[in-house]
Amino acid sequence: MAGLPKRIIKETERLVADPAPGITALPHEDNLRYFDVTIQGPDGSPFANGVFRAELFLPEEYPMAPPKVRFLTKIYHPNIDKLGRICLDILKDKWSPALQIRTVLLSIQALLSSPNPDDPLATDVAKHYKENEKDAQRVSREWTEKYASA
Amino acid sequence: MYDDSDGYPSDSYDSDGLDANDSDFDEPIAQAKGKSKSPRVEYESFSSARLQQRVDDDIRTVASIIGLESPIASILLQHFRWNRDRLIERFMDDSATVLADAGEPDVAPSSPNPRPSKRVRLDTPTEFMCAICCDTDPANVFRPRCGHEFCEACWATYVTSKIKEEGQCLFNCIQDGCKTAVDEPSIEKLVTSSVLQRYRDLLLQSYVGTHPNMRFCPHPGCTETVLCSGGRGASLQTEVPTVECGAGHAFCFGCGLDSDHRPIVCKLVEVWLKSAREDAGTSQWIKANTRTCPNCKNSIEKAGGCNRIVCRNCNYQFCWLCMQKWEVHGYNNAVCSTWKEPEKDDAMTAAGQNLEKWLFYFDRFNNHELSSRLDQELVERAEEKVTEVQKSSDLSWIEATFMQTAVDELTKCRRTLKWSYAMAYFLVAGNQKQIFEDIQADLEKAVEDLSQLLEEQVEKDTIKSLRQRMMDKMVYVRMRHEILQRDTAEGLAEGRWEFTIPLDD
Repeated sequence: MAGLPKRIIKETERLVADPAPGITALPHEDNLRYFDVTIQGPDGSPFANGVFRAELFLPEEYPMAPPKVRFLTKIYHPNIDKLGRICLDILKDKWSPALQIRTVLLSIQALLSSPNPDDPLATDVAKHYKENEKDAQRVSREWTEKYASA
Repeated sequence: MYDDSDGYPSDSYDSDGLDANDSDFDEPIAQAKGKSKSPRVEYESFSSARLQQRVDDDIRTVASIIGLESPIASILLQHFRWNRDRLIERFMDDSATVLADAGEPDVAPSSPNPRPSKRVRLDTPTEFMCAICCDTDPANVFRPRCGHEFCEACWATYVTSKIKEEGQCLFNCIQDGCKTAVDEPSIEKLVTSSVLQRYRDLLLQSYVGTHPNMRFCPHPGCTETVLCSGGRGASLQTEVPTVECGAGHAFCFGCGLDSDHRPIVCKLVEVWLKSAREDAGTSQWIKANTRTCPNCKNSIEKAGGCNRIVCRNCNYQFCWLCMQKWEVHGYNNAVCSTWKEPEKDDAMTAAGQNLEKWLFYFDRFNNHELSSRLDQELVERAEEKVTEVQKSSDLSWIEATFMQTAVDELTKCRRTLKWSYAMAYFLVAGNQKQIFEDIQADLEKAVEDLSQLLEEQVEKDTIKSLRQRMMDKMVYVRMRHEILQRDTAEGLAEGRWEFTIPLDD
């Protein structure tokens, strides 16, 4: 693809040659700024053994602006809403151009291990998590089994 | 001259040309304001250059006291929301924590290259790769005082987007997790002059925004800033801190409204404007803007400055405000501007009365706003004629500007009248309100008379007499205006006015 910044080429090469554990990211052939992503649910979390599909897009301003990431697999998580949008500071005001696709995806994986119901995007799920964490985790596991089993 | 003793914070009544030429006009005014002592607020206006100087002085003072360079002092001040004393106190207590909290790197300020003014050309460029753009051979590498090197182009893009897109003047290094703020010399080196200017503006905004006694002039495009010691808190119940910036824009320091809203206090302005906004666009608003002729029911839109309306359709003449027949009404009618509280046994419901009352005052409020615009249009049309006449008469150019002078006066008075109707709406009925409305009616009448003169045809042989009559009327208007302003301001200070809603909440 013509005019693809060197930075994106380098990052893509590294993602393929040296993938982060439990994470894959493959660019579309017709649009090298668009990636198909899979993230394995972290062990010990209600999302363990699940494989979650996501899409990642690098906007024109990248890396000055953060990538856009969205889950495609349904997931019961207080910081991820019905449309798969993710509430994560580094995807917004805490973005630094020194961060990379790899670091972003690792941060998202970490978010699966440690939900933050005090800063929720999906308020109903967050409420569930705050009021009855055990039961909420049970639902998360159910959803993982139902929608994210590989 | 009479601009010193009046109740206005500055010579808002100065009308060029008039003072210089017509000394006989001084007399009545001087008498009228002999004992003027209405309260005034102390304030000072700063141009953006002077404000910049003030900010720079603050930064320099702090820098010399805490013994750091100015750019660092600036960053610390921003972290302390420009509270100089608190910063110095905290810094003296525990400088290490203050610096760490602000994200200053551990390196002492005397480290080899804390100010990145020199371009660092890497000796072995092949070993360097900018982590942002992956360029292995950038033209220049920039290294801020925290040491996070990236190529200069990436740094420039980053800093520019922080300033221009996000409007920030305090932001951290590019490196993820690095809390060191980017200092002014770095910004100066990295960005274009227009972005740097934007940065400086943002810095001034942050300074004024956190300063309890400063406000930017709210007029569009104005760059003045006013420093006012009063005009905050409880004093707003007893005074209207009207100030005038260095460029001559009057505004209220208390609420920031971009206009002189005397005599009404800020709190009531807020309630009034909120009601007016909610009302706008409804049938009531339309009702307030168009009228039907009382005789033939033709729709009429007001297109002239004075309240005497002549129906195009049937030639019926009536007053725009009270719809009374003009032959009965005349120019001398105080009834027209007085709200009559309905009788106690009136069958109207309270809500209905309230709406009627609101419409009555809102109508008059709106009318003055509209009339101001129309007066100005009228004058613009007349000015051409005046210029033409002036060429063939013995009037000087200065003397020929009397129409604009009159309109400027009218505009001020209409603004006061406008807000006085809003104030009257909130006044509890009684003797004090009666007196208030009498004074208001006097000004209203004087203003309408002057407005009427503006509509007269300008002819060569009558221009001198027109000018004389207009000047006389204007002096009278000015006096009535002064009386209303002084009386209401004194009333506020004395707590004489009783309002239908509480001022303190």
